[in-house]
Amino acid sequence: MFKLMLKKQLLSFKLYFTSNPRTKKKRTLMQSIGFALLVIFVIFSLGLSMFFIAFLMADSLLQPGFMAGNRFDWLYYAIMGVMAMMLGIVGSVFTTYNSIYRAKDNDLLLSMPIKPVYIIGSRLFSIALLAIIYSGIVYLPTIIVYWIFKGMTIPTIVLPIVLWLVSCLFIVTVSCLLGYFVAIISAFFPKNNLITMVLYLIFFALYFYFCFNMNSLLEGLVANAENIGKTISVWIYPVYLMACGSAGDIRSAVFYILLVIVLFGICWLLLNHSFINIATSNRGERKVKYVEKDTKAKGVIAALVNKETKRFMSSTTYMLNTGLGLPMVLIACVMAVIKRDALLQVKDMYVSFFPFVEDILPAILVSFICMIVSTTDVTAPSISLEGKNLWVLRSLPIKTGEILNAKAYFGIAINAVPVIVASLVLGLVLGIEIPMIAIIAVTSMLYAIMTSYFGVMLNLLRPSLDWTNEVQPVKQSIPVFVCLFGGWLVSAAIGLCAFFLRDRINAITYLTLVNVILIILFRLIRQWMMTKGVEIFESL
Amino acid sequence: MLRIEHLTKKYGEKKAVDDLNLHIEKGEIYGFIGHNGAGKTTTLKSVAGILKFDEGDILIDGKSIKKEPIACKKIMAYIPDNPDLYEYMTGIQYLNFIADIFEVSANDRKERIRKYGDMLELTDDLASSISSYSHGMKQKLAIISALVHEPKLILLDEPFVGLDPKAAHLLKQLMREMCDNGSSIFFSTHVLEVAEKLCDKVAIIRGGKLIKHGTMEEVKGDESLEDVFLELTEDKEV
Repeated sequence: MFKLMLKKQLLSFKLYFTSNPRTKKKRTLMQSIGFALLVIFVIFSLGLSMFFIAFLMADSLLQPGFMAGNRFDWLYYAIMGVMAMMLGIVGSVFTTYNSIYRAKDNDLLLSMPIKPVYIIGSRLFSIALLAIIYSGIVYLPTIIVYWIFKGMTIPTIVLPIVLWLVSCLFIVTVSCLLGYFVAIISAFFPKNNLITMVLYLIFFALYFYFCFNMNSLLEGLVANAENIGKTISVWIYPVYLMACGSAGDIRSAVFYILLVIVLFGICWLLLNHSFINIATSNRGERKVKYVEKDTKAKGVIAALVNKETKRFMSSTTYMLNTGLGLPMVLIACVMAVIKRDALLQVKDMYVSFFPFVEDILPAILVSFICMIVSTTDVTAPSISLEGKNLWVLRSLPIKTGEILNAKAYFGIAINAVPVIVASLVLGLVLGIEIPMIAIIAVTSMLYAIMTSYFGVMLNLLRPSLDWTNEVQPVKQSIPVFVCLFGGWLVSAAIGLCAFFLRDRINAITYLTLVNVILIILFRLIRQWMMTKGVEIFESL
Repeated sequence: MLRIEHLTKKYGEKKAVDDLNLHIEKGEIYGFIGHNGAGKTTTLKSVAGILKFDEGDILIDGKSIKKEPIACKKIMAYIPDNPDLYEYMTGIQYLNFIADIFEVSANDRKERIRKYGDMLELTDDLASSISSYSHGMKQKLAIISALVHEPKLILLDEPFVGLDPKAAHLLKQLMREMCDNGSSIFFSTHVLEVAEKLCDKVAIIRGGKLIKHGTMEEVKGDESLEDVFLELTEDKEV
């Protein structure tokens, strides 16, 4: 019976390669091989970047003369091991949450003559496989780099590999615990989409901070190796054991294995004891008692734009993939104010070498703001996202043109404040005059209007209403791809054309010309939308 | 109230509805019965203005759905068999959205939502997200959203599926009440006993063609509606 359950779990891995998630059709053998090679390439590329990080670390910590006799081989494994575990946990926690606490086939399996222990075991097995893949991206390069610096002996070959696999059990244990907390948060916080978005943004910010400051962080690490080592050995003792074991200390390895087995065993017993409760309890939405309130009636357009807003705010996928421009503008403005002096120094340096920079600075600023607006391509998937709800709009007494306009208005509304704020703040920081700042704001706003309508037009040309996972229209669709990258090209072109035309026309004339082109494009797109676009929407 | 004239809808070469003619008066409950794939949903969606049809016309209160779709939809409500509602809204948000589109005043909507919400026992759940609703609750919400603007013509596709017995009984009462107040109801169902008790008139469709229609007495005579239906569909197969 356990073999059957394992087979079922492994089938989902197989389907990932052999079935197209968008069309649900089986891939041909060549397509499956191609996709598998692509996945391997991505994993290999990530592993390669981890290899370089491990090499930089090893170059400092594993040198023979480092810290005059104090061996910090274990610190190397501790730091890389923590990275591997964190990647493994982040990579598998939501799978744990979905496969244990939210699995759709729990009721079906529990109604069959299958012991819950087999259900749990098979689910944990697939989580462990994921943990091996994610953590392996860091662990394997770490081990290989160690071999390069310290040579290959039986302890340095066997122990790190065994402890890596044992660490995957630790990752599974932590994932189960974190998955339980995610389940509680989802049940008690109705606005968990916002919380998730904020957490993702914090994660991205930390990731980019780490990437851009890697050298200084590594220097700090090496300079404080002894203190960091003491902290780890006291406060994160399991990591210390794992690290020492990986570096060749058999006693530490044995203690670590026993510790992980005990922790996993406790987790297993708890899950086994409470699985039926967890699987069958409704930890979905918390019921909110209705209290009648006075409502203000809205107009049709306002109601439609409000609907688009709710759609956007309800989905982390939608927000993260099409709304990243908003926090980017905020961060750019804050950083510009904080680093004003540095920014002005850079500007003055460029102006001293290239005097024309002063003339084309407004166009460069427009180009920058438009690039951020292109990242906020909320309208590109907006028709596809209607999906199976399309009948609601089609059955209501609303002109199709109003529906399409409302989608574009939402895109404009979401970009309006960031565009104006960015134009004002960045313009003032860079010492641009107020009238010119106004022109920058107008040009950027016209771009936002044009690109919002462009997104709706693209989605009318390539709608996809039969998705089962909203990742498909939001991340994997041609309208989003064209809107985003096309938008970046157009934005870059605004800056480049200013450069090439710098000797022929001044900034005001240039931006006026850009405004005229944007207005013409907007009028053409809108005209198409109100005629052909309406026809297309009504035939969906 | 509703006049369907020579309605024909094709999907490729196949005629889903073939030269259908129907007339529904004010105050009538008109049942529409047929086997799976007979063309009931296609007909209802064509009347609702969701599907474009190939031939014929549909007149709602004298206005053509082809020429004046907005004016027609303003006096109509449509509830599909499996109402996929906006799961990202709460029940009350959805009702307010529908009320905004139909330009129902704040006071009127408040009163009607309270009335129908209490009647269908959904008031307490209106603040919850639609994603947490069961099928029956979604059905009830769809019914309330259809009634909030007091339409003259209500189109229902299998309205009793998923409703508990009490809610089904209340819906039948509501349907009768709406028709007594001058509205018309055109609904499809597989539950022939309900159609027999509730409908003033009935139409039987098979393979996209209307095979029998009229008052309940005209259609079934002394037999039960089920017997008549089986007889008509069996005859054609033989």
